[in-house]
Amino acid sequence: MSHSMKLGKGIVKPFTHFRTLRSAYRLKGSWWRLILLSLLAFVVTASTSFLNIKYAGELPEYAGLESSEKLLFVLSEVISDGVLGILVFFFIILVGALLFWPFFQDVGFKRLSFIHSYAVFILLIGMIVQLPFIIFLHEPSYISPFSIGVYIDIFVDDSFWLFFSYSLSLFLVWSIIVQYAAIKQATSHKRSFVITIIIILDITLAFVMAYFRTAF
Amino acid sequence: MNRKSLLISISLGLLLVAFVTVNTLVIQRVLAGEKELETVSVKKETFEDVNSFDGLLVPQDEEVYYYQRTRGEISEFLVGEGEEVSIGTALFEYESDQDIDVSELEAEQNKVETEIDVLDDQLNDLSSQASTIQLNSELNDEERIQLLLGIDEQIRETEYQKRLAELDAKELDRKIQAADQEEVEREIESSLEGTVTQLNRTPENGEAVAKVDSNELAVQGSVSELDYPLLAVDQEVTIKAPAYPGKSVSGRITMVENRPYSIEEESSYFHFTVLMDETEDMTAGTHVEIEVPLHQNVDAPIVPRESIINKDDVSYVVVVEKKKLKLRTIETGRVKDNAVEVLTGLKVNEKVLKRPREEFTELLTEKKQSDEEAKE
Repeated sequence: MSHSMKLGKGIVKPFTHFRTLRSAYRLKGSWWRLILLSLLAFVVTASTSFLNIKYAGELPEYAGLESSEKLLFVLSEVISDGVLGILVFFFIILVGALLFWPFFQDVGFKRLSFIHSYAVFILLIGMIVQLPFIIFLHEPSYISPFSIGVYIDIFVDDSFWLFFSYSLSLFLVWSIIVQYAAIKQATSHKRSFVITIIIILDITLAFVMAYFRTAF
Repeated sequence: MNRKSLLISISLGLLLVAFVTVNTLVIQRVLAGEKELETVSVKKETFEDVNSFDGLLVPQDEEVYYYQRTRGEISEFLVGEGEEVSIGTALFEYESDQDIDVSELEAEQNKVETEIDVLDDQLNDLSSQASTIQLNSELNDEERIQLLLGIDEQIRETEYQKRLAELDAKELDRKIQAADQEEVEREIESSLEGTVTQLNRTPENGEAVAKVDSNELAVQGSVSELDYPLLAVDQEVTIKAPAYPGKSVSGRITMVENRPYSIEEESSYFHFTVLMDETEDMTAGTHVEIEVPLHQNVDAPIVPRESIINKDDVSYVVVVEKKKLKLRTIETGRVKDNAVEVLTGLKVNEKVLKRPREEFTELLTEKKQSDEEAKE
């Protein structure tokens, strides 16, 4: 029996979609979808980077450039951010799976990576939905109205805590639900164990990502 | 989907929309802020490296007077040790070989001058007599001639005597002047304003009899051959004395000796002299420290360390000119606290980015290089 990667269905109807994951001996359609997903990551991250520069003033140097220099500057930033987006995409899939693996060894590293691809897809959707808000609010992409970071931002001025709190968004909740639906049906662990571990590890991952964003 | 599920879905959807709307409003009203480039003005600072040398306060000038046996014995010391003297003050005098009495010569000179006056009177009388004889009508011509010849004879005799007396007076005058001159030459006078610091009352030939130190002080410093090239005449220095804590006096190097006073195995040592602007309260013999500023850069432009991007041994800053950003190559020097001395490439009061991003600079560098290539 095999299980096909269907990103759209998986994130909308996770409990139905992942029913066959545990018994599947073969995962189908992963590679070309992963390539498409990485292309999407590049395009979304590059677009976010462009809008951040153009509308959110994330790089104030941009305003001071000669018009002839602006294109080169934007291209350089957009391309480098797009490539970085692909790397982060693979980082979340592989490191996320690696973090989950010790707790869900019966699911297996390959299946966990497979599940995390769905999580990344949800995060990319979150980035796409965020794009109009960059233009509308003139704020960089990390300041998301889908996140509880908005309330932390009022009281805290520390970059790390802001990055961390803004990553606690509705899309993270969505990806937790999808992860839970997938892992619960692929493991023999109890429901409470599964949900606790998923929440803890996702928050840990958000913590690590916030650290990297602050440090670099 | 049953009715209950539909209601839950609608409620959840509305809740999410409300959440996003409220968040959007919070971002728009509370969190939104203009993002501006953080710039910093180029300030100025004086940089200098200070090299310290040991020194000693010494009299600015000193004069030593030696005993010369050929001039005779010293007859008298006219000053005492520690006595203040000025230029021309007689210090001691030699004995005279011939004891010439000037007052006797002067008396004799007076006598001769009186004799000349008497002879003058005689000459006047004789002239009057000659006139009387000329006018006397009672005398015949032969008698008149005889008398006049006699008077002429007397006048010539008197004039001769007067001439001799005048010669004597001149000779006496010369002798008096010579005696005065000798008196002066026997006295040794100070050529310096200062204090008599040494007095040898029993000197041998060639030994110092008296030493006068000027009251003005100077610093005599010592420099090794390694530091010798760092010093130059007219260089400004600062003098500090441990005996006078908190006090520093400025001065100027007036002389750097070109011959070492000490040659040791590892290094030779040279003297140099510093004239101080003020020496109040300080005394000769005080040990001092001479601080010589080297590589001085007055009011040099400075920028914070984080404003500089170093790449391939080249330093850059991003200058903000009329709201436009320009990459500029600079030459950096010394660092004081967090401020970096800029030797070339920046002027005081220009504005630079406080924390330019290296990637951004790389982009501009590439542009700049391509521009240069185009020009070539």
